[in-house]
Amino acid sequence: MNTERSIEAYRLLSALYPKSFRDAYGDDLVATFTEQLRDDRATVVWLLAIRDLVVTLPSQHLEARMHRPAPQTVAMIATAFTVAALMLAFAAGTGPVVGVFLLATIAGLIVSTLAWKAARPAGHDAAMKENRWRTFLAIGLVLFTSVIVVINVPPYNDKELPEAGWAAMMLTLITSVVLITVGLTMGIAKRSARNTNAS
Amino acid sequence: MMPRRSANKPMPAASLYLLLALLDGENHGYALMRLVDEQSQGSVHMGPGTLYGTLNRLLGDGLIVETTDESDRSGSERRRYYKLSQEGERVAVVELERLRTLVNRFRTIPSISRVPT
Repeated sequence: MNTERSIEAYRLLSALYPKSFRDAYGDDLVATFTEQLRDDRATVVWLLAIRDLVVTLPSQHLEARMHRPAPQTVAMIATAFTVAALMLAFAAGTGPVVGVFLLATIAGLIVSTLAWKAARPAGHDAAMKENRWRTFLAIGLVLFTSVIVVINVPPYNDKELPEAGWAAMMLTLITSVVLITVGLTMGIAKRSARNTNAS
Repeated sequence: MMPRRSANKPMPAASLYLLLALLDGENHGYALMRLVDEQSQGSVHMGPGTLYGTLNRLLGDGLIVETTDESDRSGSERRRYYKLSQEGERVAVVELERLRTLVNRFRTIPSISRVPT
């Protein structure tokens, strides 16, 4: 195998390292291998490289897994928290506790959105941006419906809401209206941009 | 990054030899690999994965620092340079002392004391 092919083959093999390690040291690995080829016989360099890969690939994957923050776990917990808070808001019926649960729902939504964003695989940014308006719209509609249900639908509207409860309700309502407006605006803008590109 | 190394655990050979190689001053990965090979008299052959995996761990433990951007490098020098941190120097000295104590302890055994040093 000539030097160029050796380097290319090693580059392909080094792609088996975990992404974080490749991002940090991918070029250095290949550069070092190239320098070894320059100074030693190819057979010796390859034997050492293969032994090195066999030992370090599993250990690097293990290390990457152990030290990686678990954003998906955080995201799942935050989502579960959000759903639970929303259900508790419904179950609580009326009173200031509804407002607390609705605020917890909003906080949970924010945290879970950020956590899912951190957990998504690299390179999905474009696709996520493309669909962001749908996310805004969906969250807005969920919040809006929750408020309407709490205010208008029996048995949730049986009791008078205290001032703090109303404030939380209004905050949720305003947030939902803003999210729906932003979502719709982004969606319309996207659609018209697509139509313009098509024509 | 949080230090991950336990202070009481003896260091793996690759880490120890890299620290010792850096006692001579800052250097880049490939030169360190050669130095380790030379200083260990060929007993520690590191491949690129072991070299950068170990350097990464030493960086994470705060025992070495990257100095690539600290000084101007000539023309095509695009390598990463590393040097010992203060803690790294301290740990290297402690490790050497530990090895010295170990050797001294067994020096009194007649069969060991005959081994040339």
